Amino acid sequence: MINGNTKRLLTEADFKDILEFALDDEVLNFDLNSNIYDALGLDSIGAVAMVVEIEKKTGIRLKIEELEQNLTPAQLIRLINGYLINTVDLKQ
Amino acid sequence: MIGGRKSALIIGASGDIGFATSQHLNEKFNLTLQYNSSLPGLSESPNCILRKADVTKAIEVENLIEESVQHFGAPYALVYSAGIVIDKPIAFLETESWDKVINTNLSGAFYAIKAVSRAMMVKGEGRIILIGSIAAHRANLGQAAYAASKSGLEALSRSVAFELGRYGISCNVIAPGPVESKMFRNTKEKVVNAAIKFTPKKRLGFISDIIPMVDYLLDENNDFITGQSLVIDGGFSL
Repeated sequence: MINGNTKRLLTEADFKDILEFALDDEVLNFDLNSNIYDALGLDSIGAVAMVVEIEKKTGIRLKIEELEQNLTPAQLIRLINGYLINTVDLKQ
Repeated sequence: MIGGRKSALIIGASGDIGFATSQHLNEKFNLTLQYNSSLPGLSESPNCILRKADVTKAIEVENLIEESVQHFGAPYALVYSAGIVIDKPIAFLETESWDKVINTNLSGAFYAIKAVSRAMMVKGEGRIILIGSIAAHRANLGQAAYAASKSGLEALSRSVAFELGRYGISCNVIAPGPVESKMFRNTKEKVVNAAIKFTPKKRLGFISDIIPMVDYLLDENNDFITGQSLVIDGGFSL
């Protein structure tokens, strides 16, 4: 777990792991500013897997609609870390 | 998990199979029971939530499951045994009756699975059991709506198993043949006798024939059976 005993912000590497779980595949062309749907190949089943994996790893319960409004890894990491900063006692 | 017990949700706990399952699991699980008539011998306790709810209304099912998750945490098990039967020849089957059977037997299961799935997915485990019927496999006169609803449950189960398997969730259907139950009690004697005649085991099923399969599917050691329809009918469908 990213959070739990060692609470910390979500990193680019953490997000790549989450994306790979959601896609059930290795991501070779990971780019922080790529569109997760069009460029990285996420579909609706993958989107569900992504929000579940984010909740598992961070405790943050995103809505699927938030993925529609934050379409790149950079935007999503910013969104999740924003929630983390506001909701948990962080130890960086 | 509270008090070392996992949580189980039983939808349709006032039917014969749901009630027997509730009684059976009462000692082992924290229970949330949905019912619509009565649950003699079962009462609200720190380990048991009883709620009257209409399974044909998605919001009522969602509220019930939300309360259960808040109270007991993510459920380990969901047993959907809510079901009605309205037997009529197709030519005389009112669309309202069709809707009522499909909504109770099939749509309610979808509402429950949808509401419970995220908590189970995040937890990384879950067992979903849908109570189907042999009517999904073998036609009976006047049972178009019932058979369609139970066949739908089997298709739903396969989809759920396929989509949620990677999260440690299994989904199976238990499909009983004719069972000595409230639902079957109003059946004409001629039909009951015919069912017995065509059953190699020469009797109706009992609720006690069903419970061991519920136990088996809930057993943590049985993790690899999913998307299946497990027929318990004494050979009626052979």
